[in-house]
Amino acid sequence: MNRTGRSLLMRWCLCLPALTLVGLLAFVPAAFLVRMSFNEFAPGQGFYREGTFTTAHYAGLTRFFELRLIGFTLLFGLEIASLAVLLGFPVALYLRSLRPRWRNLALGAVLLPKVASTLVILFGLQRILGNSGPINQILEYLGIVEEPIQLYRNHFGALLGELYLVLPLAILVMAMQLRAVDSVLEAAARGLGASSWQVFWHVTLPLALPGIFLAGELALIWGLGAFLGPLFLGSPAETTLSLEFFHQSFESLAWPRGAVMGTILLLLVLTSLMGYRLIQRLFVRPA
Amino acid sequence: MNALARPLLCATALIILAAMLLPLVFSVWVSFSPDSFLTPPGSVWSLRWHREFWADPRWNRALWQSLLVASLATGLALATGIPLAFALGRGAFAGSVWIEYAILLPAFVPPVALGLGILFMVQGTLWQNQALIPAHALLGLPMVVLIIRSGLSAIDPALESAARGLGASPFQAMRQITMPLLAPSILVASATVFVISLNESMLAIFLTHPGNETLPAVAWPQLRHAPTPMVAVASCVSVAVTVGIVLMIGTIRSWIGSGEKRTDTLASTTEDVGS
Repeated sequence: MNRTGRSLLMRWCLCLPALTLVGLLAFVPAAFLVRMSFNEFAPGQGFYREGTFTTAHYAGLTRFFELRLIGFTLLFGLEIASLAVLLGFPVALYLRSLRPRWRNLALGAVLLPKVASTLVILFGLQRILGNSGPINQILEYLGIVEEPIQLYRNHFGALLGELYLVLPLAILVMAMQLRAVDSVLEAAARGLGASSWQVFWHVTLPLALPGIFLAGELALIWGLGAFLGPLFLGSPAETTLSLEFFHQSFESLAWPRGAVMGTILLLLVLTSLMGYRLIQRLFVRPA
Repeated sequence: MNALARPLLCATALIILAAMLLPLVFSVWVSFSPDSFLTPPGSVWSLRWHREFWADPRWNRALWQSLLVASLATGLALATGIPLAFALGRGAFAGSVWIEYAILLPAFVPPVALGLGILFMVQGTLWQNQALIPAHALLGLPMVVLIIRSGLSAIDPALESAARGLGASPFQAMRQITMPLLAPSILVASATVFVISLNESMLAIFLTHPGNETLPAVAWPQLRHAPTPMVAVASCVSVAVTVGIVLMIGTIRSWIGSGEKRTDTLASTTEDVGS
């Protein structure tokens, strides 16, 4: 074996432990999930019947309930993606205008909710939005409402909760892209007589677009997999595929039926991703 | 931006930033309440629930279990991620693009599908009590690879060649030149994985049993049905540990890299990831 061949082999060997980890804990479980969805359901005697094969659980998918579930999950993912971009971009722009010291501090503040336990955030939100929480107290004090209004256990609550989990990384991705935008280009445009809005619209925004699309893509994927937000701050009307997967597997103990939801979810993420990339290609030319 | 847009942007961003931090602050604040109504304390602050938290064996065990899982997951993520970063760090090679995709893949799988898929796999096997550790290592792996790779790219390869030229074995060059230079990145990477694992809740819910629950796994049924002030204390503890680790790493880094000016670990972590 020649020298380059040996070095290639050595590099693959270095990658082997990590690839084993990913293979055993991401690819194999995905295969188990898909296989599980074809098992027969065995009510009252364990979670499923081993070694059986049936497509019966997929037959129910054309029912209104399941179609509505898939539609709602897609809608929720799109809502999360658009809100994350719309709310995150101003923050990313603002971060860019700060001095390094303050920018680091603000980035820390953005990321703290992400590194802190998600349950802490959701617990705090439950308390803040609750009947005796500060928002209802302020509204009552101002005489806007007579008695506490329900601020969560609805669509708004589910969206808000999930957004807290998605927004920090969306901001981070867009801030990274904006930092890579050469400010000399903006100065040049201004020097050539462009107004502030023209600079933003014709220079900053187009250069930031790849980051905006990446943030939207990640937010869409996480929004499609939304679980904790709808669970803790939503109502049964906000059931996503993830949530139904959990209900079937953990509460009804019908693993094969849950696995169908999981498989559909994986397919939904995959097709949405491809659709997203197609749309992106219309706006951003591949590098 | 013109005169009107600039303050508007500033106000919008600051409101969003404040709103992001509010639930965190509120959870911690509620934990000092003297009563059990889960409202923030007024004039009287109390450590009543904090004392009960530390006296309760279930929460205590969960805290230690969380720290244990986080340590082991960090070790596993470093042990698998560092060699991979070395392989990828010195330029592309045949198949390296696919390896990068494979490493990033877990971030694209919805966590419920990941957690329940792993559960289906390990249920009834010897591994069902330990599955959470490699699962958390899997979540930390992309961070380790990103951070170590950017650390490696900042090290001049000529230094290692020079050591080799002066007669050091490859092992000596690695141990005495590359590793010390890489130490700050390894530190940041381990802190990142540790914090990710400590605060991870979804996989913890699916892959633990009453015997080996981590903090989020104990907190979550309460959060769903009837929260007690103990959840607030658990929130307070996990925020304190997280902030403590971030500050500690910041201090150690400023000792090691006194030449570089880095003010905030979180921000420098993100710098590492972004570059």
